[in-house]
Amino acid sequence: MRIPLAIIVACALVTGCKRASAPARPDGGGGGAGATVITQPNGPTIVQCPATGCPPDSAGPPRDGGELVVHVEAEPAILCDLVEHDAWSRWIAENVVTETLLFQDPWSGAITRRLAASFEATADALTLHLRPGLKWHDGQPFSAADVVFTIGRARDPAVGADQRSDFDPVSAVETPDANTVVLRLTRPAPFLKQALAHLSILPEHLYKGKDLRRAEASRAPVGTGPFKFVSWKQGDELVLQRNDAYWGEKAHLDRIRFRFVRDKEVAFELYKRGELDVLWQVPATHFDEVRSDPKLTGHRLLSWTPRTYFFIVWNSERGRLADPRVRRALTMLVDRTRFDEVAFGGHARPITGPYAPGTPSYDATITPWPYDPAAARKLLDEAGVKSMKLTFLYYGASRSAEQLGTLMKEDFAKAGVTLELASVDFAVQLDRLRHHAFDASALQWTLSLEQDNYDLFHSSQAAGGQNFGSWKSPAADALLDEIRKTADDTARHALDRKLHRLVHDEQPYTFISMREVESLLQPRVHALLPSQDGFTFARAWVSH
Amino acid sequence: MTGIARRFVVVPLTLVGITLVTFALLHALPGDAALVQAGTSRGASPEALAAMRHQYGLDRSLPAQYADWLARSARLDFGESLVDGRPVRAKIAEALPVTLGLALLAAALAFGVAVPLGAALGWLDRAPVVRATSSALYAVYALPVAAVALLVLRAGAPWGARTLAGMLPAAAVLALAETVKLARYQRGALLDALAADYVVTARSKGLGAAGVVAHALRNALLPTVTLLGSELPALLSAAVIVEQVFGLHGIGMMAFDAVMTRDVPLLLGITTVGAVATLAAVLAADVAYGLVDPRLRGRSA
Repeated sequence: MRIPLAIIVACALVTGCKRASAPARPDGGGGGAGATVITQPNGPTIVQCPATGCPPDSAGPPRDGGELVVHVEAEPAILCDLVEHDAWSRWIAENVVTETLLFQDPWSGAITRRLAASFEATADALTLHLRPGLKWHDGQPFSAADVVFTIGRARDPAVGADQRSDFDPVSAVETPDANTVVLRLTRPAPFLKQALAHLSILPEHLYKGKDLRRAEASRAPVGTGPFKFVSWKQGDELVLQRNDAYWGEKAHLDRIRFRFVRDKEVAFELYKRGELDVLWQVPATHFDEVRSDPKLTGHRLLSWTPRTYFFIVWNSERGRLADPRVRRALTMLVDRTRFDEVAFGGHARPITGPYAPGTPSYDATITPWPYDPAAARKLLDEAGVKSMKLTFLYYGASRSAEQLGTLMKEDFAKAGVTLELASVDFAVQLDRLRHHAFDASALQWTLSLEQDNYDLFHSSQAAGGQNFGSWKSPAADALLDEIRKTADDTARHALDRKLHRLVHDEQPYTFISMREVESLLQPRVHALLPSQDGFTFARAWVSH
Repeated sequence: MTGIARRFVVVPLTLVGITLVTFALLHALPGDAALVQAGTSRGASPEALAAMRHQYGLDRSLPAQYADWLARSARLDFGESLVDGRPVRAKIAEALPVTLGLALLAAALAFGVAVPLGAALGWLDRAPVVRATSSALYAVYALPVAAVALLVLRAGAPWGARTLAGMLPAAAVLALAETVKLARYQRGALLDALAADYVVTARSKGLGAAGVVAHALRNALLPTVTLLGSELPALLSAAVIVEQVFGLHGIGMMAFDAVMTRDVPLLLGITTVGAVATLAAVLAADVAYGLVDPRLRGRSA
C-alpha cells in the first residue's frame, strides 16, 4: 500500500493525527482488512483501501429514513444490463432495483445466494432453488419462468449480452417446478456461476415479445430488489425509493437520488456546496488539495482501485509490429511510471497482464518490462528495424489517452520511431479497431475476478470480436481453449498464469496501470462502500 | 413576389437542404449508432450489430432512409432516438424550452445592457472614461466562457434550476460576449448617426442634446436589431458549455451527444428545429426593422 509522501508529512505536522487498522467485515460489502485509515483534525478522513475493499466507518447503529444524493458522471441510455454496457446502468440497478440469482463478493470473488436460496453444481448440471413466494415490484409473482426468459435473452446472439459466451456450455434450461431451474451442461462451465451473479433477472410479463432496448421496463425497471424505481428525468436525475415489501433485510434509506453531472469540476463544486452526498470520483486536478482541505473535516475520502486497466493495443498484423521483439521494444519505450504521475498524480497501480492482481490467476512473479530506451533500441536493431513510423489512435475526449500519446511521441522519437497522434471520437475509434485499421490504440478493460480472456486474445476473435490487435498465437489459442474446458479452479488458475506469462513475453498489449479512484462521502453518510460492481446502497444510512 | 412571400418558398427549400446536408455528413462519418451502443463490450458480436442495424433501419439504402425521414417529418413526426428509443419530438420538447429560455434571456440581457451602454459610449465619444470602458469590454470579450461559468457557479449560482430566475446567472454568462459585441456595434452606429446630415440639421434648428440622441438612436438601432437576429445560432452554440456547467439539459448538449452517438433521427430533428428557429429569428428581426424604420415597411430587408 502506498500513501503519498505529502500526506504522511502533512499528518506529522498536525496534532492528533491518527492511523488505525480497520476491522474486517463479514458481509458482501467489502472487507477492508488491512486498510489504512488516517483521521485528521483539519481535513477528511483518508481511507486507503487494499485489495480486500474499503472498511466501513464505525458509526452506528443505523438509522432508518432520509435521502442519499449520488453523483453520476455518465447517464445511461437505459437500465437493462443485457443491452446497456455502461457501468452506471449496473451500478444504479443491479442488486439495487433488479436482482441476480447468485451474488459475487466484489473483492473476494466468493459466490453466495441471492434470488436462489440454494444451488447444487454437478459435472453436468447446475440446479438453482429459487426463493419461494417472491413478488416483482408491480405485485406480479416471480418464478422460474422469469429466469428461463432472462437466460434465453442472454444467450441470443442478436441481443449481444456480455455473458453470452459464459452460457455456451449450457445445452438446456429446465424448470421441473415454479421454483427450480436446472441448467444442463454439455461440458465444464467454469464461468457460469459468475455470469449468474451478474445477470439481473428480468420480469417476463413486461418484456415478453418486446425489444430489450425499447421496452418501457428498460426506462422504468421493475425488479425484486431492496429499492423501487420512482422516476427518471433525463439529463437531470433518477429517483429510487425503499421497497418496504423486500424479501430480505430492508434498506435503511427512504430514497436515493442519482444526479447526472457529467462535468467533474462542476460535480466537485456541487459536492462542496453539500448538494451531493457522494462524489464518486474526485477530479485528478484536486487530489492533493482535497486531502488537506479543512472544510472537508469529517468527510471520508475512500481511495480504492477498480479492476480496470489501461493499455495500448498493438496491431500485431501490421508490418514490423508482427515481430514480438518490436512490440517488446515499444513497451520499453513507454515510460509508464511517468505517465501515471502526469495523468493520475501517481495514484495508479502497475499491472503486467490480463488478470486481476492479487487473484490466483495473476502471476505475481512477473515484473513489468522496464522503461529502458537503450535496451529497446538494441531489440529494434536485433529485429532489423532502423526507423519506424506509427500512428497512435485515441479517443480525443480521454485526457489520459492524450497525455499518454504525447509522452510516447517524445520517447519514441529518441529511438527513431516516429509516432503520429490521431485524435478521433469514440465511434471512429471503434470502427477502426474492429476493422484493424490502426497501428496502436489506447483502451481500458475491466477485469472479472474469474477472467475469461478468450474474447480478447483467441485468434478466432480477430474477425468481429474483441481481438482488435489481431494477435494470433497457437500457444495462446491452446491455453484459452483449455481454460474454458477446465472446471477445477486450481488447474484453471495455473493455465491462467501460463497465459499471463505468454502475453507478457509477446506483448500484444503494453499494460500500463490500474488507476485509483478517490470517492468522497459527506459526514452524514454511513456504511456506503464502493466497489467496481457498485455501491452498497442496500446497507447505507444517513445520520440526519 | 413580395419579400415575405418569397421567404415562404425559400424557407422550406432551405430546411430540406440543411437536413440533407446534416444527414449526408453524419453518414460520411465512420461508425454508426449500433457500433457506439455495442461499444467495446464482450457481446458486441457481428450478429448483435446486424440485429441492431436491422432494428434501427440502418441496413436500408441511404436514399430510402432519408426519404422515409422526410416523409415522416413532413407530418411533424421526427421518429425515435436510436439511443433510448424515445420519440425525438418528446426529447426536443423537454430540452428546447431550456435552451430557448436561456438564449432569449441572454439576448434580452445583452440587448438591454448593450444599447444604453453603446449609446452612452457613442455620446461621450472621446472622454477618457470611454477608453477605459472600451478596454474593459475587450477584456470581458476575451474571457473563456467555461471558466467564467465555473466561477459564477462557485459564487453560489443555482445548479439545475429551470425557472427564469434560476437561469439568470447562466444567461448572464452566456450574454457577456454578446453584450460587448452589440455595445461596440451600437456605439459605432450612434457615432455614424450623429454625424449624419439630418442630425446636423436638427442641431442647427436648436434641438437639445436629449432630443438629438433620441433622434439619432432610433436610426442607430437598425444594425443592432439585425445583428441580434443573426446572433441566435452563436448563442445556441455557446449554450453547450453554459448548459453543462449549470446543469441545464438543453438542446446544445443534446445535439453534441447526438453527433457522438450517431443518433441520426435526433440530430436531424434538432437541426430542423434549430433551422426553423434561426429563420424565425431573422424574420423577426426583419419585422422589428420595419417597426424601427417606417421606410422599410412593405419592403424586404
